[in-house]
Amino acid sequence: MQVRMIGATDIGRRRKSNQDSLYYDEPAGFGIVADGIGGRSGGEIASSMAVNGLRKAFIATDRIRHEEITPFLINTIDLMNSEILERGRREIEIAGMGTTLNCLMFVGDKLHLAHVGDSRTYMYYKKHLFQLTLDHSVGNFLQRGWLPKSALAAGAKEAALVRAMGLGERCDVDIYEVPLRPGQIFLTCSDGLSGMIDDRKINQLLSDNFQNFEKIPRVLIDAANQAGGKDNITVLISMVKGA
Amino acid sequence: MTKLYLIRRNLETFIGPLSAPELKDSFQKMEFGLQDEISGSCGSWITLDNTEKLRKHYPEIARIVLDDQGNWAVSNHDTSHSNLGASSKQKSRKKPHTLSGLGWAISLLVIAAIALSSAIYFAITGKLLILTKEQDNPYLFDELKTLQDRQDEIGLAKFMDKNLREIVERTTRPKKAELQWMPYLRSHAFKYDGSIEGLPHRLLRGEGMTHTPMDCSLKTWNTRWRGAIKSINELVQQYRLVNNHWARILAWDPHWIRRRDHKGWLKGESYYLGCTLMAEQALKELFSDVTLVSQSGDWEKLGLTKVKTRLAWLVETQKSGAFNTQPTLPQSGDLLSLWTCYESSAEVKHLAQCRDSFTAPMDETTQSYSDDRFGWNLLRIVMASKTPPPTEVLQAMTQLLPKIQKGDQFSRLDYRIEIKIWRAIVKQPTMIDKILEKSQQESSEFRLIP
Repeated sequence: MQVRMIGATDIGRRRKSNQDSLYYDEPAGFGIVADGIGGRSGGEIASSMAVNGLRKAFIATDRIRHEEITPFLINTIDLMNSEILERGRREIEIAGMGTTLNCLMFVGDKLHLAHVGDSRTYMYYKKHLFQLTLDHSVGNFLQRGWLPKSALAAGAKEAALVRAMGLGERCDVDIYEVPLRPGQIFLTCSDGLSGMIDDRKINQLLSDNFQNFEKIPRVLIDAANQAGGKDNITVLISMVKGA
Repeated sequence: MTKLYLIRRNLETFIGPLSAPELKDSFQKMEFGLQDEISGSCGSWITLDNTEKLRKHYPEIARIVLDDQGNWAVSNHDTSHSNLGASSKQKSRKKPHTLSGLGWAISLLVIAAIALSSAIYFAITGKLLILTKEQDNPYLFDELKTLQDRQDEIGLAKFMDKNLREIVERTTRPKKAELQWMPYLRSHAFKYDGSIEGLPHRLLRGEGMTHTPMDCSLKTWNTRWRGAIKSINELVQQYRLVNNHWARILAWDPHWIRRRDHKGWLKGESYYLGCTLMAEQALKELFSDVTLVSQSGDWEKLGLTKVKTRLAWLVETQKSGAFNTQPTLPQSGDLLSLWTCYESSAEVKHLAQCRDSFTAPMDETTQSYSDDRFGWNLLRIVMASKTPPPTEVLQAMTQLLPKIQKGDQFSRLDYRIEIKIWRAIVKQPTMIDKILEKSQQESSEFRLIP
């Protein structure tokens, strides 16, 4: 399947710096969105380390077969997680930095999606929008019974992240396989978008701009900014064109 | 516009988007099950066995799924808000007031009497169990524990075979998953081929194990070894650390594995052991494949016999914990036998003999990695002695300390506890007893082994 990709990132209206990182390579069908966590410049460093690490590993890889994708993603993310932790240990001012990550690899008739944290990937198809990824938040883990309430510190917020790169020695990654169909649009975004406008609004904006593929990232970012722009906003759009 | 739905299976794969009729067809073909999740456009993900929420959010899907499950499934849940309830109400509206109040009461009495007599009949004939299948047997786990307490291995195996489907279903429920079954499922899986139908490999492997292969089934190892045949000598005889699962497994430190308490596994078992067993079994199968011999030449030349020996060592050490006091010195130029030699040494002098007898030149990375392995085994011997190390050993530990701080970047086993102990021993060698005691108190997963 052929995939067209376009992305954009924006500082938003409240933040002093953009801690999100974005990379995509349309011919290779490869894209990454990361949302850094951590004060000072920590978040920015963590998200760019994750994105650059994956980008370099991907470039260094020759033709990759379906069965090699999951180990590739897990191992590379694991390695980048160690490097983020190690750098945090070395440099006190950025200690505790971390990042979310959504990495998309389009291979053959499948999308392989690696996900850590609360950045999201949606699938849009025939005016329907589905959130593919599960936010790794305290609220979600409690609801699913994966986290006992007793394990939570007093005052822990439901939106707090349970998983992210840089949080611990081990970084558990969700890997999804999505069958591709012509006409699908995959929207990958940081919570600066999904936290500002709801899914129905996103669906509406995608429907309205379906024919103007190049404009979609800007339209979504503008909508998030109009809604307050409280966080950095990153949008990556991947459209499946057919064989 | 036709409404579309997406099915998410095991938090790994998706089916769809599908229209309701397509979804019905897919469900009937058993492409997904009640343990899977569904989402409509801009909707939340709901597990298909959560009938209450399913009816509320996706009533048209509830109708399809519950109709297909038959009436027994419906009767188990509150139907007061259901669409099935709604449709029966519609039917009754077509013929209003056909029964008087007294008529209703009589009818209800008759229905109750029929139900009671049917229940007695079914109970006598043993058919009630089939009709009330939706009720979990609350004593199933107790049955298993009894067999385990009796150490009845044959009974346990029979029990698992008989109840496997139900146990998998209970374990994979998105909500109220009965995770107490996991150690038994894992044990069962690795007694056979390292997989259980319907149980995702990720669940079988467990949390915090991303440094290990996701899929350690026999089938995958068969493919893995066949794909690796030509590059095995890169590791075994050219001493290059090949960045691949099969190579990393050969680098697993059996003593590190024995020092860990593997939560979610039966005593003496672990994902590491399961994975090594499957790798060993698959390699044996590869050896028996005559067609491969003619294609690939001599096993010895390919380095496969050395891999086989290494795997046998890893399995044996993890299983029994036994190792030689007088190790076999490494064969000329066999990197794997050097590692095995280190691991089988019980004295520092033997470790040194292993190192000195391996004279083939290695590249810098592999040399450095092999030195680390020397170091981890030096620490193991020091820990086992529980006495302050002699001066020359302490000097070696001090010299190696800056190097081993990185941990094991190749096998990715987490040596942080060992590094902490190492640092403490170098700092206060006479306090070794207290250092070891403290390390055990601080980490519930770490245990000292002889």
